[in-house]
Amino acid sequence: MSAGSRTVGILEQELADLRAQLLRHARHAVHDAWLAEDLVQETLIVVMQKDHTRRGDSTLLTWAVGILKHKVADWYRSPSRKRMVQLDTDDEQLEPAVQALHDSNGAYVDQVRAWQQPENREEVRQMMVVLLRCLDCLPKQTGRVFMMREWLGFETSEICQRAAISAENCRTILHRARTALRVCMQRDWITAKAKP
Amino acid sequence: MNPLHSCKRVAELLSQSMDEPLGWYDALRMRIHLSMCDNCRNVEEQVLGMQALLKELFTAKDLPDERGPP
Repeated sequence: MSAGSRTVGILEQELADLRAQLLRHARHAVHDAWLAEDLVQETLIVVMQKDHTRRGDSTLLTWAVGILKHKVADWYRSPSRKRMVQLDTDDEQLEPAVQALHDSNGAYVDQVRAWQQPENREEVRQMMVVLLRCLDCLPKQTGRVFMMREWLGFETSEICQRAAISAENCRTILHRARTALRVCMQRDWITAKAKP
Repeated sequence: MNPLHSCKRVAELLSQSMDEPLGWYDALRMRIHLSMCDNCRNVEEQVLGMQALLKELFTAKDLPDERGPP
């Protein structure tokens, strides 16, 4: 009995950690806290029910992230949810910052300084924390399009279909998202590195 | 037609090339520009670096579970 409850205790802690990890992924992928909760909950159900089918060569997290990706992709692909996905495009919000980088000839106004490469795991970790914060700052629809591409690995043709945007629009959104992230990292990562 | 792209155009093409193959002429002009422009080479390194970091970010176990500023 006591051994049994201990096993359950470990499992519970493991699940709690896993849930926190999955929520971080899901929140960035759908930019909606409630929806993220739902998708993670659905993922945990599969994790609980199917853990015995997991191969020894994949870690619990990698395996669970794979399941979550399917859940998120299914959500984007579900016709009944189409209306929810189709938000107004909001990448214009980023346009002033993107425009300000270049002069009228399209050259950089300020020199683009190379980033200092992280020197150890702790610095890589710090850099990821900065990147996460920068991701949070993307407008909602822009963030979704970016994550559909970079996390779910959707082809741009599928993104156009799911988000009901043109190919040109998709190109622009991805470009603005990457530029905004780069500018955000330029500002916050270099500042973070400069701290004593 | 200007044989060289502007830095602004190169940034657009760099992003596009991460999602779809570029036409050969655009790709050629972009490569030539990159070979001569430190700013754009740094931009290239940064966007590709961020993409790699993103992949790692979603399997990292040692990140705090924090929300950034709303």
